[in-house]
Amino acid sequence: MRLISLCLLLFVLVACKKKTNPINSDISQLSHGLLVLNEGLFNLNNASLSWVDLNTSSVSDDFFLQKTGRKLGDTGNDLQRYGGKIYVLVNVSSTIEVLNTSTGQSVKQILMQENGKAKQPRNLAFYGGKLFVSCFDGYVDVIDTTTLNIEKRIKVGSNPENMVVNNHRLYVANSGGLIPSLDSTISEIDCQKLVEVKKIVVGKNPGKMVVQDDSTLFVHVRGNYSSIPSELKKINVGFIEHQESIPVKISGMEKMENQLLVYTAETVSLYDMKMNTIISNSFIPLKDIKTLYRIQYVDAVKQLFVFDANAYTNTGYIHRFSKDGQFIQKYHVGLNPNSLIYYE
Amino acid sequence: MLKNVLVLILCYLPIFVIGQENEKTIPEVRIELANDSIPLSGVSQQISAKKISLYASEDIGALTQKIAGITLKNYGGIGGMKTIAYRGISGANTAVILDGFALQNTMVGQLDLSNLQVDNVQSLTFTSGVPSDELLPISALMQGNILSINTFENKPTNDTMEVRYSSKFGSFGQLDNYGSYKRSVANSLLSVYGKYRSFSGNYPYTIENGNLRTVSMRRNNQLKEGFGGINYSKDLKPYLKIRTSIHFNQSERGLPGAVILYNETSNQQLNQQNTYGNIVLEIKNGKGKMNIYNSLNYGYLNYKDPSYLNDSGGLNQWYFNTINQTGVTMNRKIKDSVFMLYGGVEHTFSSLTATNQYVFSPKRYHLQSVIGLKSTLKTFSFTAQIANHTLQNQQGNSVKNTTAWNSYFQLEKRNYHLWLGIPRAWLKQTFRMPSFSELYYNSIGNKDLKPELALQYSVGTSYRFLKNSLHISIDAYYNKVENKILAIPTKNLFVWSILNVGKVQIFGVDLMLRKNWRLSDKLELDASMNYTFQQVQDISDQKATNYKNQLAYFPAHTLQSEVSLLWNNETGIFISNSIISKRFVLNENTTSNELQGFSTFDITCYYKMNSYKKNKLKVSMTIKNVVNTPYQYISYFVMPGRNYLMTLSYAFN
Repeated sequence: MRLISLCLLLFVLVACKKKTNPINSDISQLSHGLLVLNEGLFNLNNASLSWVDLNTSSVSDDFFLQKTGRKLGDTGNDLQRYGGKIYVLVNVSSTIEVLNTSTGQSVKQILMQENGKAKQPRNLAFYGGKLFVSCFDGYVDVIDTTTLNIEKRIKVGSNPENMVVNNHRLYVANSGGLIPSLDSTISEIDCQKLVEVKKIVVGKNPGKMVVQDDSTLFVHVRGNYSSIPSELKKINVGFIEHQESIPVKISGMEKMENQLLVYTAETVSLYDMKMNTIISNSFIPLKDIKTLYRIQYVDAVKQLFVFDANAYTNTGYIHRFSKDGQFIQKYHVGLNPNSLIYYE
Repeated sequence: MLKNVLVLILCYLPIFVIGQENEKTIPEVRIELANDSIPLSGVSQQISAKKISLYASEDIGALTQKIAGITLKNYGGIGGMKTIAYRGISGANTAVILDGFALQNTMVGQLDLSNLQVDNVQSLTFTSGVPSDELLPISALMQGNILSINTFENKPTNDTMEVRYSSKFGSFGQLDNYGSYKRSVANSLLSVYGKYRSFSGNYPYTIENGNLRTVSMRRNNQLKEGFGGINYSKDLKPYLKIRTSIHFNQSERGLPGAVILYNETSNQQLNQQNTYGNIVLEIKNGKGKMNIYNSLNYGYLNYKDPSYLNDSGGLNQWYFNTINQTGVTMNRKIKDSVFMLYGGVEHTFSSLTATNQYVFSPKRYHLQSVIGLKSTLKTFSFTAQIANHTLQNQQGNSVKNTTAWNSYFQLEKRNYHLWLGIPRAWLKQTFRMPSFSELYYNSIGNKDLKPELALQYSVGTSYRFLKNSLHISIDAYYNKVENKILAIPTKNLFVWSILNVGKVQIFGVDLMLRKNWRLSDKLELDASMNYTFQQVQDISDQKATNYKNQLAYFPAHTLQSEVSLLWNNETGIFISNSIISKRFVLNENTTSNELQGFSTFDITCYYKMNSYKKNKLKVSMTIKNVVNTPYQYISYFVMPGRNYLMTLSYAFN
């Protein structure tokens, strides 16, 4: 019995081991690296930022925790840099974390709640010193990037997600992802008057959009994931609206100069937006990528970064490719990486 | 941390001090061991009514964690959903039996054990393998494991009348009243019971967020729940008995969900109702017994989420589940031999309808049959069983048939051997059919799912030492699960599919100890411990980064221990301790996926008064989580800190 009691004591000692998370000042000035947003998984509060040091290829997955002493929250959806600040959008926690671009230190946490309800922010866009935040409650919030106060809420369609700015207009994809009939529109907002000008019907469940020129958008219309298929549409949003369906399989896309990378879990196609032709159907080799989650093109270095979600429940990878599809290197990062900022 | 160690030392000091003294000064130790938590036949563990009252568990779910080998998933306090796994295998492989009738939920495949009350439970028996009662419903005999609940209302009595009443008052607005009346007249037994409990549920919690330690309040955790039922049985003839029962429960509860950092909004509600109606004819003669039974279960579930961001002001979904089981089960001794044949057949119909547009009213017809042979030789007993499950799923014009077989073999030594103890071994092959949700829900359901298969091997033995005052039982096991049904995101995090993709292997050891000291004529000390080691590994894909990693939420080590001190059979103190080692919240065993282990203590003090004539009164006070440990079974489903429960119980018999 003494032995049993000693074992019990040992158990308690082991079970109650506490960890501390010292604030790390090693990365004081951010340069020549990648700041990666790892989305995490729903209800696990495990969204995170990884810092990839391109000099040493070392990766620190607790960048946000080390800089702020606290966790990022639940489900990181978007990461963008504007001016001297970094904006991290955390969907289920319903926050926007604002960090200093050079140091990564916290500037402000903006709580996105109204009347006791979470607004569930989804995506970020910028124009003229304003931050636009699409919120799943059917609004786009306008935040001044100097004061970081919410100045206005603009009513749009159901469950808005992706946004792009083009020709002084903000286009918002109204997915309707939480309503059985789905939404089919994109809202056009005047960026100076901050009002919705019109809605354009594009097809069920619009998502990612890419700007080709002043009047042309490519829109990924996702359908209902079963009877209504996913498709890519080219839309003229000018005086005379015109839509054209592009015959290519799609689950996501990314703009690379005048070309469009259109991808599914199995293939990455290269599409010429001006010529309206598919240049290649296997632009990037995917044999080492388990779960292609997203592709991001970084114009500053003319390189592609492919996000591998590694079955969505294991920590993921970023595969780095040249502009012509040649593999360069891969980095092991956090859970479900979905976007990055490149530091020169 | 220091507090934990101090309390542990205080709790177990009697073992060091009194235990040693006992062995020196008391020459004869009287053997008085109940069967609590010690294997009965090598495959069963039982918790008695006496122990149940000492644990002061809020429901059957919380109670099951006292059983060696069980991993409890507890989503938080009173009213929080509770499901179990046994030896690394899903709770869907465990049949739940209430007074001999099976309880089922074909919608999600396994019962939420928080919906089963404990106040009227006379014994809770967990059996892994073929149970000692081979006349249980066929669907239960086919399952890998059986959790059998026997209630006060169904227990035969020699008294003409028995009454039970209890009131509980606890922290966080807990109020609980239970009453039962039982009358026995002329070969018949009638009992009626009712219970109502409410819980405001707003308890404080502490959570670590990086270097911050945040204290907040758990909200939207309220519960209102009522239970009621009638049992009636009558011996119609010396060879024929009829037994009927109706059970009903209805609840309204808030669903607080996981604690989300920086966002404490929580508005989801769940309303449920379940009604069970049962009837069985029990026929017997000198050669054997036969039961003919029917069970009808109707239940609804209403889920509301006013904060869901659709265009109709939130979600309000209704699900209706109907299950009807009809069967016959029998046993018969083979003339002039040591063999007994048993078996039977059962037909089950179940259906699900819903206001949710993604559920298309599936129906299911089962035909299950079992045949087995038991033998009790002089030195060994063995059981062999084979079973078939044929199932037809219908959804609109779509019809899908599935057939699966399972088998079981158990060998046990009957007499005690000095070195070997009472050794036992069994192997079995079981399966679980996919639930309605897995087959049909929205676009993620998969009508082509195959049954999930589990192969289980177990060897063990039991010893008695120190003039039978010390019992030790040890079992080692290896299980393998194939065609594991998993929800997998196939296109992105929003598009999931349910597939037969998983393979899991499980190694483990269950160790149970119990020691009893009769310190004097009036003073008795009892100590027991259940320890489980389990390695539950994902072996689906050798190239995956989580290959051979421990599956999410399975601790490698689980220890349940308790000490009970009883004075004059009237006054007692009972201390119990649960230790769960670290777990991982996902199947990849990285540091960031670690969920800290924990240790909690509960203390119950009680006093029994044998009052006037047959009236008995008992008062008890329980302090749960004495050290106020912050802990979680499921990540970010925070459990309550220190809390109190006072119970007044009255019995007449």
